[in-house]
Amino acid sequence: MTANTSRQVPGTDDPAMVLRGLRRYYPGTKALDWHDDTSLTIERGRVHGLLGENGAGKSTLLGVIAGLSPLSAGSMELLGQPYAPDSVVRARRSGVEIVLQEPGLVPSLTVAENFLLGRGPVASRAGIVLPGRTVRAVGDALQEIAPHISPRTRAGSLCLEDRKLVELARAMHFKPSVLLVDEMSACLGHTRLELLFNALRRLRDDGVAIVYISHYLEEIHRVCDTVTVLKDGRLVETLPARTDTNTLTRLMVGRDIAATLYRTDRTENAGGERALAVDGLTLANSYRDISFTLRAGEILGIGGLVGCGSQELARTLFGDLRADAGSIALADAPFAPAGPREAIRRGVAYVPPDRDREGVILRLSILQNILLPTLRQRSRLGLYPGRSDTGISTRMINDLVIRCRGASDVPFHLSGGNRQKIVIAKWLVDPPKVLILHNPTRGIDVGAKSEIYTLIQRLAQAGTAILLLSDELPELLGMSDRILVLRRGAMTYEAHREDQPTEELLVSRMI
Amino acid sequence: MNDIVAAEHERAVDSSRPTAPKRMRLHAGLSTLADRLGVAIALIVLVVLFALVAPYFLTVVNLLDVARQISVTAILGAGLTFVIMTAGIDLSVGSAVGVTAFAAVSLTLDGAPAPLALAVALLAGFAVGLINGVLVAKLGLAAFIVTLAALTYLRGVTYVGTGGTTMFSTHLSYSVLGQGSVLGIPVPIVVMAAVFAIGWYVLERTVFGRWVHAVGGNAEAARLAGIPVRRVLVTVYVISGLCAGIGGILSSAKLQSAVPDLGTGYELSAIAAVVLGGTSLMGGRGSLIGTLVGAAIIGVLVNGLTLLDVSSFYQQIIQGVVIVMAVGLDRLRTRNAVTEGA
Repeated sequence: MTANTSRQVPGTDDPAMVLRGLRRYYPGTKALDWHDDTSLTIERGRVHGLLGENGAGKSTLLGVIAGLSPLSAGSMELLGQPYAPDSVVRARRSGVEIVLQEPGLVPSLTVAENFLLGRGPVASRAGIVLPGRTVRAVGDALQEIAPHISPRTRAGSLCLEDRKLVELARAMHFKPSVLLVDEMSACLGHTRLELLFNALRRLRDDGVAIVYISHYLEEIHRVCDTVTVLKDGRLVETLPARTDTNTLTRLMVGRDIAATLYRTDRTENAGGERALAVDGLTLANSYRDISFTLRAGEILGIGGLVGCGSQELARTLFGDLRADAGSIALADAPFAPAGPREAIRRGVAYVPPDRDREGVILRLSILQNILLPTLRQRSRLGLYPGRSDTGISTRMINDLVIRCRGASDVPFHLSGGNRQKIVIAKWLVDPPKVLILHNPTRGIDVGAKSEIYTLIQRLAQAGTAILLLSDELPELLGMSDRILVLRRGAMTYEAHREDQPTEELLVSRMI
Repeated sequence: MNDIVAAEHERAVDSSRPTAPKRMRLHAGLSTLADRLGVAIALIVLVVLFALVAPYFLTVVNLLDVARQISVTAILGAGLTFVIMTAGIDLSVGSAVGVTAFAAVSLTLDGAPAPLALAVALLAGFAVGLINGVLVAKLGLAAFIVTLAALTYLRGVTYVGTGGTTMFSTHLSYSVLGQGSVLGIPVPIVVMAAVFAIGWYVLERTVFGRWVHAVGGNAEAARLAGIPVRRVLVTVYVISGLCAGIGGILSSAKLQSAVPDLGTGYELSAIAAVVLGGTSLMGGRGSLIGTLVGAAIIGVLVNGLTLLDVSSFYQQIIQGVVIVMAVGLDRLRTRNAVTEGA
């Protein structure tokens, strides 16, 4: 392909893309769930913003357009032609490029070599790549957006920000008619964000249709022409990007909350004695100057968008990361755990967000999963404790209503909700003083959800201090006594249950 | 058309809801049973087959001979089962047999008492495992590379130590371990039985054994449950090294010598035995009993084919095919497991 021809057919008036009735289902979730008559038009020469909470379906939508995941139902048109890419390569050939959230470069290859991946050669003769010319062509491509990067640099030696810019330059080099850009600002600093915006504006002026995901309203306002709000996999509305913040926030949230699912009381439980105190905790590039106190029996929610630093904060409290500055204390004494083992010994437990990868061992029996953290304490001379175990696990299975054939069943055969109960159960054998829950009900059905909420309340009433990190606002609002909001690593807000905070309020402090 | 697709997806989504259909569970139960019996059935079929065509096969003398033949491979397999359970691999066990045999024999020739020579051989095995384990677990090097390197340099050490020639002793003080018998059962078989009994107990009845299962099943989840994952990894390589030490002692006792090439290729037979026995190369699933059965299959195959006068050249072809089949079976099992879960 030559460098300067655009794929768009001049003179036709078709919009860049028309998307109709898109659906993408995964087992247990409907990541995209449009009505049959819902449609979205992406115009040429516009920057089209996508806005929505975590899990609203923004990334899924981009993935479907870019050929990363197949549609369950629906249809797409590209420049007036039917469009149904079965792979990324196919989508690229049709002129659709994507820059993903995850790093998309091979670290061991040079920038120029990365340009060649999965695409036709940049400069070749009779199928043989011409290295010199490739480097020159790639250099030219970088000139536009990131002139400080050399094509001969190994991608792995670039900082994260520059790697994202290289990906963007690569996508731009192949003259797409549609460019999809997933959340980039989380990893871009101020100057490079400006480079990105300038590049996007130039592309737009060349007639490229750009779809841009951002968590931050200020970016939408600065670079987008149009914005579409998504919620729970559905399209809510498409508006001019200059629409005011309040309106956009209201559209992002405001779903009906099944009130009975959560706590019914509106009073704030101030809690008993101090269980955890965090003072000025800072970890470079993750969070900074975090201070709070968590009391026994209290449920403290922490909210924020993906990348706000809450996950790193939780891992620090569990001893898996070390903070750069600040201090942590438990009820009685300072706390600087060398690792999860020490944290567990001191009575801190952690239910991680990725259940199957970090929480449960799918091929190990329920019994073994539940007993894993406490095996050593209950053993004598390293011998496996044996009979008494069945009692413990049976009690847990009954207590938490884990639906299975028996304690020797493996979690592999169970639903997400039951798997999650196993993850929680393993921490209740030897009840912790501080329980950190990260997205404890993600991707599980309503019944199991409500059971887990009841359990959380029961634990709090029994005096466990609970730190609840969640991407789901209704869950945060429904369960927490207090809620801390993090935005780009800093605490921006503290909400109290008695003040009856709203989703709008929280979201406005996150974005 | 799209609606049909959507409807199918709805159904797929629905069927993955909390209560899995009974039929699916039954199916899963049956496949677990087949999983467990699968290799044992293969062993029984082989035994019956050879018993029919080679009358000598099913005699006590011959069967004891088979058991003695497989004893070293099986013991190496026992150690390897621990390693492979954690999704690791130890290619160095064959060379470790060579080097520990050399250590024991040369000490004996220098006049060291048998207990000392044996202790040093075991210690050598322990050290080999410790080095492998530390490199893999603490430095995060690939087990394949680390133990492949060990395979090479340990063989080199053996060549240097023996000077490339066989070290022979007419009065090897511990030769009873290779040639003696207890109540009519050759010592190597007794040792093999003991290794498997202890190994089974450790793997299934101790805290450490549960940790091995957990680390192999999901190292990250195990770590977040407070399991000392690295220590578990180092220990499994040490166990493998110790088993190689026992293998070296038994081999040299039988030969009354240290042969420079001793143990070459043993790692492959041992890995084949482990995989034949149903231990997953992906970690997390496996059993020592399976490994014993796997080793027995290989032993019976070699013995039976020899009785049938199949040349050893052809035997190699057949053994190779068996290894491919073993890995293929493992792959099939894992794939079934994945589709079950989806």
